[in-house]
Amino acid sequence: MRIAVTAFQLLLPLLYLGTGLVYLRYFQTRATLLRQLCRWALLVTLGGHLIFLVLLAAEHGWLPLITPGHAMTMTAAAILAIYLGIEVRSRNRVMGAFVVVPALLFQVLSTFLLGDLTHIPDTLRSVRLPVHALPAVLGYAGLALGAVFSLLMLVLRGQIKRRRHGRIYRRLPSLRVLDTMSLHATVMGYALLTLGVITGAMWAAHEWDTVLPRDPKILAIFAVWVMYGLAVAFRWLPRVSRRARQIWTLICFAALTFTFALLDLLVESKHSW
Amino acid sequence: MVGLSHQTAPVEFREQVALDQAGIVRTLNSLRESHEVAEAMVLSTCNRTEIYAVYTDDGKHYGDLTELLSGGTALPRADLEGHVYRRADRDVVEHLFMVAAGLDSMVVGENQILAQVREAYSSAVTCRTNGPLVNKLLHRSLRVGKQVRTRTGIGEGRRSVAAVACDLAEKIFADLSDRTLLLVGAGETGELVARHALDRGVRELLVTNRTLERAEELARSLRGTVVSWDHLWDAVADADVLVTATGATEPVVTAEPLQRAIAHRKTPLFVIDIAVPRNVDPEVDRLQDVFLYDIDALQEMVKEVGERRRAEVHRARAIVSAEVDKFAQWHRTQGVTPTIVQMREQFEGIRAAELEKLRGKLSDDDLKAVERMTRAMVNKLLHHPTVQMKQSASEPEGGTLVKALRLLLGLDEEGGR
Repeated sequence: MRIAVTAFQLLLPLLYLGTGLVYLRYFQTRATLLRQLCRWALLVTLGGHLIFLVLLAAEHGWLPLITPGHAMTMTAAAILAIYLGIEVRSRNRVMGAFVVVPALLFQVLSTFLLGDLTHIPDTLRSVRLPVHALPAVLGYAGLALGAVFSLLMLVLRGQIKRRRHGRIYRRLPSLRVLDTMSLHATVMGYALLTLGVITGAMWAAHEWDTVLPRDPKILAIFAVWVMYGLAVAFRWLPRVSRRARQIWTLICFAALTFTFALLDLLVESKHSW
Repeated sequence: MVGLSHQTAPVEFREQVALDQAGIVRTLNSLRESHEVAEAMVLSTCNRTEIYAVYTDDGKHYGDLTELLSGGTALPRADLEGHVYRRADRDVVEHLFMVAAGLDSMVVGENQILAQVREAYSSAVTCRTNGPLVNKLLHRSLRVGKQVRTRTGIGEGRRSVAAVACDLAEKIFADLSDRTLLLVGAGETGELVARHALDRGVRELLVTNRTLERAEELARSLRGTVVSWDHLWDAVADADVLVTATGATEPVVTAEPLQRAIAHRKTPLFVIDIAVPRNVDPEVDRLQDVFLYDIDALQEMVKEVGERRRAEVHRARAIVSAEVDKFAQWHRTQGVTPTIVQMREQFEGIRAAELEKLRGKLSDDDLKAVERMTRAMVNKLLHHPTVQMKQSASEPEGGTLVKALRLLLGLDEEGGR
């Protein structure tokens, strides 16, 4: 089992890299053959990743949601899965080159942070873990995709404003399409994150007798959740330009990433990995 | 092949020689009736008319085809001669591949020609003037046309200010079918942009002009709605694309009133200023979610498209050249095919005759075994000569090899052996 897990651990970054390169080449050339190859590369990588997650679960006898590495590899797989859904619906494959980059990053980082899990605490053996952590991870993946689309929209907007009409201008879909994709990914991510926050609050009430413990990390996550709520609400508020909305989405994502991944290094928290 | 195109003949000649569908059918039928023509095809568009024919002999027959080209016109043959081009053998293949790739088009890389080549082939199929060579040539040329467009950027971008402006509008709004265009000014250039936008499906067209009568006239011809000059800013608030093309010497659209007009909107505004002097204050570009393009910016884009396409031409030519080589190789192989077929038939005939002599002398099982063995022997014996013939087809000594083989096996003798 260990050998199989290690083999997949080493293989997956290569698969992600290969998929990214195929998408990048398609972005450059738009060759019909590469268009078909993109979908196959995505499916093979996603299939390989699902096998890896099943092997990991079988090895630990529990869901791989315990270590930071677990969360990262789950996020990478979730980004690809959500993007596959978007790609099928939009029939647009040029954005794969940009989407695979964060997924690859998460997968590479997860390789170093999977950890050698010898004992899983009883608290984490609870069914509350997947109910809380799964929506949170999937939500984070959706918000990561939303941030990628927001960034692409800002880049394209800048190119149109500055009258630069290079390959990025020619290949990316319209501002409206990018805006809609960003909104859909962010709303979906936010809904899942909300579910994660609610189930987390219920777990906190059970463990610590309060739905919102005075813990810096939990309070920070709550603050970011409120920020993202504003990002979604901006869509329906007058006088908030698209550009402002996209910049705010990127700020929210940066804050969320910091809270999820880096806050543990600065403060002591009950909600640490 | 004989033909004329925008490269060799002015429109007065092209329009007289151009053939409609009935004319194409007539020409193809006349070619089919000729005993000397084995296959034929006619390509006729607004920019070219070309007659392709495969003759049963080695003659060029340029005169016959030129006669056919000028047949239905009042043009004296001598006048036409100076504008006609003639191609034979490999040059025909190269020419048709260049045409299908859009490299011989007036607007390099345009897509329409590919559909026109396909239609020309359909007509040949309908009139039953197609054959192995035309089939192969057309399939290859359509494939080359597609390859050139997917592997190079030759077909990307548009080459007129109006089309480029509409491309930009689509880059911002994706789909223009739920968008409103406001045309300020009733000049010709503005009208052209409006027409392009209507072709792309703009939902509503508003027209305003200082002289109301002119605005009404234009709105009628474009099926738009007239807005009085006094309600300019209300119309701006409703518009997604604003096109300014008035003869005013001072800016008509300035930043402050525009900002007030669009304050409550959430969608961007695309401003196309094609007037000289400019109708829109450049400060407008500083406003959030307003995209301003003046005539210089649009012309620069048109220039960029032209340069990009030119840069892609050499890549496209390389693809065409490689494909011409492949076609020539295939065609040369076709020259040895009859000999290979004849050689195999001869060997098979000998095998069958010898086998027949054994019938009745051997049991059924033994006969089957001998049949299997002799078939395998013939295949093995002929494998190397077949491969060698195909390989040498593209080499200078290929013809000598075919002649030698035919002589050695007596393939040219009456009834073979």
